[in-house]
This record gives sequence, C-alpha cells and structure tokens, in this order.
Amino acid sequence: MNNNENDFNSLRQLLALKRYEVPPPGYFDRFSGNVVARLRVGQHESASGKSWLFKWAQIFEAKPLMAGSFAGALCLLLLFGIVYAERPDNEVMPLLQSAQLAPQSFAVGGAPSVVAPQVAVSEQSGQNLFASISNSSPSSLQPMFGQNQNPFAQQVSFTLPGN
Amino acid sequence: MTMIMAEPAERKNSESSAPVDESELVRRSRRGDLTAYDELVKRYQERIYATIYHMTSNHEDANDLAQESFIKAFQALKSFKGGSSFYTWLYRIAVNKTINFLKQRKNKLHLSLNDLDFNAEHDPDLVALISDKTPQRDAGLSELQKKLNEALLKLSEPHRLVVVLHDVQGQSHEEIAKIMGCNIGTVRSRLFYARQQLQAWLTDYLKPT
Repeated sequence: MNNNENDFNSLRQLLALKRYEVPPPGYFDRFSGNVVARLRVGQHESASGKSWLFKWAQIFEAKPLMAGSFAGALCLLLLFGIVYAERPDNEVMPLLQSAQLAPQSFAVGGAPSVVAPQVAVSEQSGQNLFASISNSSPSSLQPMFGQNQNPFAQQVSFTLPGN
Repeated sequence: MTMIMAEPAERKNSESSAPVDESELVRRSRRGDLTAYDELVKRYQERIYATIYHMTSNHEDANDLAQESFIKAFQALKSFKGGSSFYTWLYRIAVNKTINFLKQRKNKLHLSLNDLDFNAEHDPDLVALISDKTPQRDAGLSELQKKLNEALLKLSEPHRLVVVLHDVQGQSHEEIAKIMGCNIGTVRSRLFYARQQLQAWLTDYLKPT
C-alpha cells in the first residue's frame, strides 16, 4: 500500500489544490442563518396547515406513475359513483308502485291502513282522527300566512278506505 | 473575511470531538430548538459544503444541496438513534442527497468553480507542479484547477466521493466506510481505481515520479 501511496504522491499534491477553492467571502457567516430561516418558514407553514398539501404535491411531482395511478383511481371512483347512483332509481320505482297497490291488499275487514294515506285538498271527514289533526295543525299557521294565501301550505286530510 | 478551507484534516477531526456537548445540542434540536441547531450547523457547515462542492464542482448546486441536507437532517432528527455520531449521520444525508442529485443531472453538469485562496500560490507542492508548465503562475493554477475538476467529474460518483473524502478532506478509510455504508476493502479498492483513472487523465500536469 505504501508503494501505491508513493505512486500517487504527485496526484495527491495536485488534489491538494482543491482545498484552496473557497466560496465567496462571508458565505459561511450567512449560511447557518439561511438554514434556520428556511426551517422557521417550514415550521410556520406546517403550523398553518400548508405543509401537508405541499408534501402531497411533491409526491406527485417526483413520481408521475403514482400521479397517474391516483388519477386512475379517482376516475374509477367517479364511474362507480355514477353507476351506483343510477341503480337505486331502478329499484325504487317498483317499490313505489307496490306501495300504491298496498291499500287494497291491506284493507281487509275494514281495518284501518296507514300505509298509503290518500292526500286530498278538500276539507271533509271531521270524524276522522287524521283529518282532525290535519285540520288543526295548519290552523296555527293561518294567522301567519292567511287561509289559502300561501301556495305551499295545503290542507291535508286522510280518509279510511271504509269511508 | 476570507475562509480558508485548507486546514489539515487532523485539526478538523479534533474539533469535531471537542468537549462541547454535541449530544446536548442534538437533544435540544430534536425538541425543536433552532438556536441549538444553528450551533450544529455552524459546526459542520464548512465540511458538508466542501464535500458537496468537490462532488459537484458547482458553487450554486453545493449551496442548495448543503442547505437542503441540513434541513432534511433537522426534520429527520427524531429518527436519529445515536448509533453513529451525528457528524457521520449528517454526512450520510448530504452524500446521499448529492449522489441522487448527480444521477438526475447526468450529462447536465457545468462547472461553477470557487476562487482559489491566495495561499495556494505559496503552497510549495503546487508551485512545483506548475512551475514547469507555465511561467504565469496564476494562470497556471486556474488552468490546473479547471482540468482537475473536469477529471474528477469524469469519475463515477462512488469513486469521486472516495477521492474527495480521503485525498481532499483527509478522512480515514474507516470513517469513509461508515459514511458510504460499505467495508474498508471496498473503500481502498475504489480509491486505488479512482487514483489510477485520475493519474491517466492528468498525466500532462503531474510531475514524473
């Protein structure tokens, strides 16, 4: 190894030149201050909640594959959402249709059915419990809106299938 | 103020093991004390900057990378277990950052060399080297500096790093092995190969042995 050291003695003398390369005067006086200033900015950003967003963006900046897969996952999620949003409509319709048929099927022997109340605009059947409720509850709103003044306020009465 | 980075390695190493309580500074920095970390930065800034500068031969890149290395070290202090010295751990961060940077910038490197300290003109070894080449000493040193940096940039990153740490900064084989995460034999063989390469490229500027 000593022979090797001697072989490269001249080279090592030349490499000593690198030690004389110095940065501009005063460079190291400012260096630590710059580092600490950047750290303070980083702490401030993390305190204000910006850093996670910045890190998030940085992840995608450095890894385009990850950005692509994330975008793909978002698209899949969107497609799934659209498909899923359309499916319940198709299933709800038969349910509603069966609900409209329900009063006849359940109104056996004069038993009251509250499954599908009929909505009517007329004021009748005061003997009806539901009707009495429907008559009394809007009356409290009448002083405020006036009778039949508010287009959204409608009187509702429920009639039993037997009546 | 003129900074002279030509201090002997022995003196630098003895400074790093000075009785100033480094572990206390690290502990305080880990708790977020930036004043303590400022002290740590001041302690190692010249060596970290110099290593990166000699690897990149570019002052602006070295400045950015050195700052980023210290920032990353601060952010990663919680993961510092104390298995090695803070100095070695910091060096590893700086070296990895620099090597990653150099790999990304392959073939896009350009020289932005620092000025030579005036003491270089009085270094007897360097004077002897250039005296036969050119009668104008200053021009000779600048030319030599350029050729030397170009030759260093031709080396692969691991070979360049070994030369910089050993022949320029005076680190021991053991310390370099710790920094590079390899064994001492690898360090020695890389150093030998790198010197051979440099000698071949710089043969016109070397004194015959």
